[in-house]
Amino acid sequence: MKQQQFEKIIFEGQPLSKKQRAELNKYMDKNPEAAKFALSWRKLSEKLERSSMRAPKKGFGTRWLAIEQADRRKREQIQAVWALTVSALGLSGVIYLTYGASSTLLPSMVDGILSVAQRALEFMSFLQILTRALLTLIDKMPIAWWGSIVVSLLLLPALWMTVYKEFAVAKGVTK
Amino acid sequence: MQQESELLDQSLRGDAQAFSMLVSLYQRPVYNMCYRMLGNVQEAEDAAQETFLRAYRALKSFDPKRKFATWLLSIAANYCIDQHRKRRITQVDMEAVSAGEFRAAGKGSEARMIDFEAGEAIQDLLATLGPKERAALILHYWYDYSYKEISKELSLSESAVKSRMHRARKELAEKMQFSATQGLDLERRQHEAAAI
Repeated sequence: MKQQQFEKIIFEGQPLSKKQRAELNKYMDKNPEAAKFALSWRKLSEKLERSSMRAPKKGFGTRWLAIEQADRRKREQIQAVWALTVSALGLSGVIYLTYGASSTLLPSMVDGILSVAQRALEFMSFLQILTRALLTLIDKMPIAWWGSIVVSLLLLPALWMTVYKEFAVAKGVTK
Repeated sequence: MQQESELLDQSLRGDAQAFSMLVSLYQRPVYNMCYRMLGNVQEAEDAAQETFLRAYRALKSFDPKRKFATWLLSIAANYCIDQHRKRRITQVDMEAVSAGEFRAAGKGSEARMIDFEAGEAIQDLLATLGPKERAALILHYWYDYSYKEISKELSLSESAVKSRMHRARKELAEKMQFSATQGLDLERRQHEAAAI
């Protein structure tokens, strides 16, 4: 007999044939640990089978009824809060879409888009005018004029640096 | 007393009073299941109350072809398994079992065994098992469920139930054996100390 067979026999507790019983006894004689194990299991299974059903304290049904009522009230409160929240959100949405969007937001958005587009167009026109002016000037202005413009542009940073040193640094503005 | 089906019909119509009569009828098996699963009186009370509350709320899904008690026990067992996972109930280890069993030092091994048998040491042993193994053993020993019935209630295959039960029984028997050995050892040491 193998350990597994032995365990199955003792755990299932099914009636054994003479041959099986003889085999079991032989196995336990050879393995005293197995015999101890079988005894432990027998005691434990007897205990398990004899263990009585535990009963709750008196008034379990009444307590359940009170818990059920409290639970129902709680659920109703939660449902009410949810219903109110959803209704309030829905109502706000309806009001906003009916009045708010048409009277304030939508026209403002349209105005904004139009204004940005207008600025863009104006800037494009300015660039076009500037390009045309420069092209005209290139043809019509003598080279000396161009030279003086370049020199003036180069002198501008120098002028800016001088002014900066004179007024800002000297008066401790940068500190 | 009103018929179970009549009470169920009334409960389905929202009559909590009718359901409370069903609660009174089945409080003991449901409470016992919760107590054996959780091993604590207060937790068992809460779990049993919750079981009935869940059953009442889900009454519409109850299949009348099924036994009402079986349905309740299934809710209780699964709720306790979930609770066990959530709360991670402290598993009682071997030392704790033996210490719990043989609290009264100085008593003979036979007396201690009587204490063990009379007391709730079985609960300590059950607490060492995993929740599904425990539920399977409880359903088998306290409610006479077959492997097939257990497999249905715990959503396990029949072979899984068999192997879990085998493992659980082996574990318990080994712990029982270990505890008994510890007890005898303690007694021997006390005798030796007294002789010195």
